[in-house]
Amino acid sequence: MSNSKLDLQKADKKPKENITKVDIWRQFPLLIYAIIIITPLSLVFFATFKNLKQLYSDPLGVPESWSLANYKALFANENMLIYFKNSVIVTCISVFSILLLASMIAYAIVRLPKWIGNIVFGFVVVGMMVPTQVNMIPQYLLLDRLNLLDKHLGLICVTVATFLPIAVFILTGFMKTLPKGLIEAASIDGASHWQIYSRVMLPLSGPSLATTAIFCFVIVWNDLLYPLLFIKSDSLKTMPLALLEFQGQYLTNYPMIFSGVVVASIPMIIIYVFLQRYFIAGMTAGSMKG
Amino acid sequence: MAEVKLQGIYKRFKDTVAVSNFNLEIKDGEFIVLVGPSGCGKSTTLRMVAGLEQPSEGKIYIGDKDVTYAEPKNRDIAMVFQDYALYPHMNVFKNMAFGLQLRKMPKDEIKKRVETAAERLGISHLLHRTPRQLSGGQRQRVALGRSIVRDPQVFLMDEPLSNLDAKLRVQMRAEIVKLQKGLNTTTIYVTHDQVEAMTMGDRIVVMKDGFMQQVGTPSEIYHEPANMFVAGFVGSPSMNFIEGEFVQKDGKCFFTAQGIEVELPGKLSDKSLSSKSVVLGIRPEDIRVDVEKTDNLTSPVECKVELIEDLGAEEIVFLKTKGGQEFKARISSDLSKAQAGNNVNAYFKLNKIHIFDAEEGSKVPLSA
Repeated sequence: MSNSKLDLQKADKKPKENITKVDIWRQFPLLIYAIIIITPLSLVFFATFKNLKQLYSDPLGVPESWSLANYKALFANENMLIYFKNSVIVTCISVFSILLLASMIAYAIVRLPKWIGNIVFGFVVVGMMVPTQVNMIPQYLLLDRLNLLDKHLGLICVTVATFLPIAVFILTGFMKTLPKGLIEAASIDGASHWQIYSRVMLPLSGPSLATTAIFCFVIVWNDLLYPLLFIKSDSLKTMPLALLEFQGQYLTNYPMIFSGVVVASIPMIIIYVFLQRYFIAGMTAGSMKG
Repeated sequence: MAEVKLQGIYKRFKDTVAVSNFNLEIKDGEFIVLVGPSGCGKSTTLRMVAGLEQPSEGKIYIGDKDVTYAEPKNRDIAMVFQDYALYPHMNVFKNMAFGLQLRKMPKDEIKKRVETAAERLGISHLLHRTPRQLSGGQRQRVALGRSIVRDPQVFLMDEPLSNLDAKLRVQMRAEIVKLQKGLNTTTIYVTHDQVEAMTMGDRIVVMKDGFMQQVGTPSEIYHEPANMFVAGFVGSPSMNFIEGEFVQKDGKCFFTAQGIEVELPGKLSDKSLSSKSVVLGIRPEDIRVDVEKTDNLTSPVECKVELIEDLGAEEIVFLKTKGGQEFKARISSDLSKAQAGNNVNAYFKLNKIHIFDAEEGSKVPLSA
């Protein structure tokens, strides 16, 4: 092989080596981030297979045996299924209502004359700035007067009102990016506002609706504050509230709490996997030029 | 099908006047083209007819109905957008059927209409594809199809060909004209391309800065431009404008400029001019180079050939007079003897000379 050929080969190889090194350095922060996220999750997952004694003696280690005793004990408590069901009801109705109302408000903001839309949007942003704690007492008193305390309806109403602004914020941002020509084409085709919203804007807002749904689902599913404030009856408790039962005054049963946390995470993982495909960008590709 | 009338239309956006005193009567089945440079108000005018914008003043009639403030859906119009505006989540069939479904038309009728329109446009095989699976030309056909299935009173087209490549544009141009003639539907077509305007429209409306400059048939616009803007905007290469002066000698009228003195075919009234300064306009194809002088030509203008652009069938010859005045002539390649660097005599066709007021730009009539 001639020298010139060898030089050419070297020249071909060099950039590849550089790219690999750059890639490693680029991914290094992601690796650190992944470790920071995965480590506590793994410890929680491992803890669910340990008893209390094992957990205290070896909190960081891999369980000696993969016993499902904690999970069995968790579901031996008949109420756990009820709590799970309560969480599903409250979360699903809340998230559905948030998406429905927020998408309508976002559509209105996009379609209203600019200055009116900006005012409405301003109110929404202000709504996001009010700390939850400030509203706790007024909300409690309001629900009491409306006779909605210790009812799922009351909890759902407060949850929807609380998370509506952030959902409107996300959806408005997305709807503003949809081509205006589509709305105009639909109105010339003879569509009313409701038809434009339901048959054009809503189907095209799939990715942002999925993002908002996951965002709200995680917050509402894990929410402890509002159920703690407004729910008293044992039969109406949600999962996070029920998990508090494992926290005693003198002793906390961490393996049981962790098992509950793992079980409570399953719907979120399912939701994420299910909605993930809607994240695919470019839903509007092909509608306009280019 | 219906007549469209625009009476005294103004459109203001805060301090900007986008359209000013626009008056036009479009006949039933007529193909009218609004043409002008960007920002001249042609799209705004179209959007006002569509109902997507409301006029600040004036009235719009479709047929006998005053639709000035009517919703777009109540105007019985269809519009083809520059960017197609196809619904990306629907396939071609659903895109075309959407307007009919909203009008609660029976399913069989919808199917029949969509299939007929698709066949007419040659997109029958694409009915189950989504817009993202189509090429630019196919998308444009679907957008046209969506309009024609509705059988509206008026078609509105907002630069529908501007995103297509040159070859496809020529093809679609002819197809749209054929389609319009076949359907005989009143059509308002907006474009900034003067070739599209000349080849497609029954009548052309030339606009500038929100003002209507001239309305007329393509031939009128080309041969009898109302002012310098229209004369310069229409035609490629554009009309030559030579600044000079109007001089009267021995009862005859002459135009003089740098190295040019030509006798005008008619007389100019001093009253019709705001000053002695005038602009002579002559289209490149109305200039003859190195030919025998005939009665319908001016006296020769001595000039030098600066450059020749050979376009195959014809040549664009860039000429410069001794006084430094530049202009160009378009000559058939078969007849051209010009060579770069040579001195030649150029002649203007007498009946093709246009005289414009240098200050106002308006055309100055030549009396016999």
